[in-house]
Amino acid sequence: PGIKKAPTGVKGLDEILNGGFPKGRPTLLCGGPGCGKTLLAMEFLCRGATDHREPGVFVAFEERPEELAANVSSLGFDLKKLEDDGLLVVDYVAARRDELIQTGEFDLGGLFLRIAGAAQSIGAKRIVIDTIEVLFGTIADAAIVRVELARLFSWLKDQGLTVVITAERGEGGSVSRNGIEEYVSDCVIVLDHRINDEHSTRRLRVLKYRGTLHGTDEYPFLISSSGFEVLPVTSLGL
Amino acid sequence: QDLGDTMWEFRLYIAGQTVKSLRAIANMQHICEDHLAGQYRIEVIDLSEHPELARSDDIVALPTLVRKLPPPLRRIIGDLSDRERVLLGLEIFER
Repeated sequence: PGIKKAPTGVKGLDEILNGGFPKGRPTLLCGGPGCGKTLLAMEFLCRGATDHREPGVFVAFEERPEELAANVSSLGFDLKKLEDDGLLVVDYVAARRDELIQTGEFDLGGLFLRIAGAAQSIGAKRIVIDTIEVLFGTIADAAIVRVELARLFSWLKDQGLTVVITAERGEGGSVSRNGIEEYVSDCVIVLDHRINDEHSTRRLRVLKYRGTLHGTDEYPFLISSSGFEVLPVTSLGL
Repeated sequence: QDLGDTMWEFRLYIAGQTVKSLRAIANMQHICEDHLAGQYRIEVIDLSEHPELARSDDIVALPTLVRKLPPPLRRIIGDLSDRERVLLGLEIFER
């Protein structure tokens, strides 16, 4: 029967993913700045709420509230209405742009409580954690951040939440800059946005998807006013 | 930062009576007694009893200590065992 899927509702994507993201498991969306990973993650959340009655939580580490609302409205969703209807909670983790001075042992207990509280408040089934690696910039001790990230992801799995994590693309061998793929063994998707001689092409590739068949090519996609559209044609044909 | 007679107000966020929490409370009391005797107030917030404050007060790491007074707001994290960094982070300088 294969693994259970959480449909994304994104045009063309569920066909490539053979049904959607892995249900109750983490998916990593990785790509450079402006590649559309936050938008795709937000669309997954909003469609989950509107089309499948699956409430969602969006944990934003970078974008400010106004930026997020503008981005979401560009996809044709009304963030405020979804929040008022109790289908979406957005938690803005400012986490202080400047470095948090460390004076001894600590953990990310505050973050856990926030996510647990937001998820419980609406009976969330889906959660997006947008560029959590900002923490590597604000907290000097990367070892503690890594231990806590591992603890967070296993807790999220225990909750049976379908998680989408976005991360910046890495250079050289690593998929993401801070090796977030270490914590996400189920599904890794890479988004690419190339601009050459004024011609910009966006491509999506399923780098890894455990336990299911999936499209293995690089698929072009568009971002329009009604959201993402992945063209299930192989890019070779273009 | 002229210590003079300014009033110092701190908020210490913890979650439950863990070793880290108790150590942070004890460390902060000693630091304030040694450096700010008679002109400080420490409010301890246990987020396991008030989880909603984690989001409203934007707390990520625990323990977190916030200096509310004198302004501007300053934040440091950890169990406050490294006194030198606590004094640096809170800008508490010798009189």
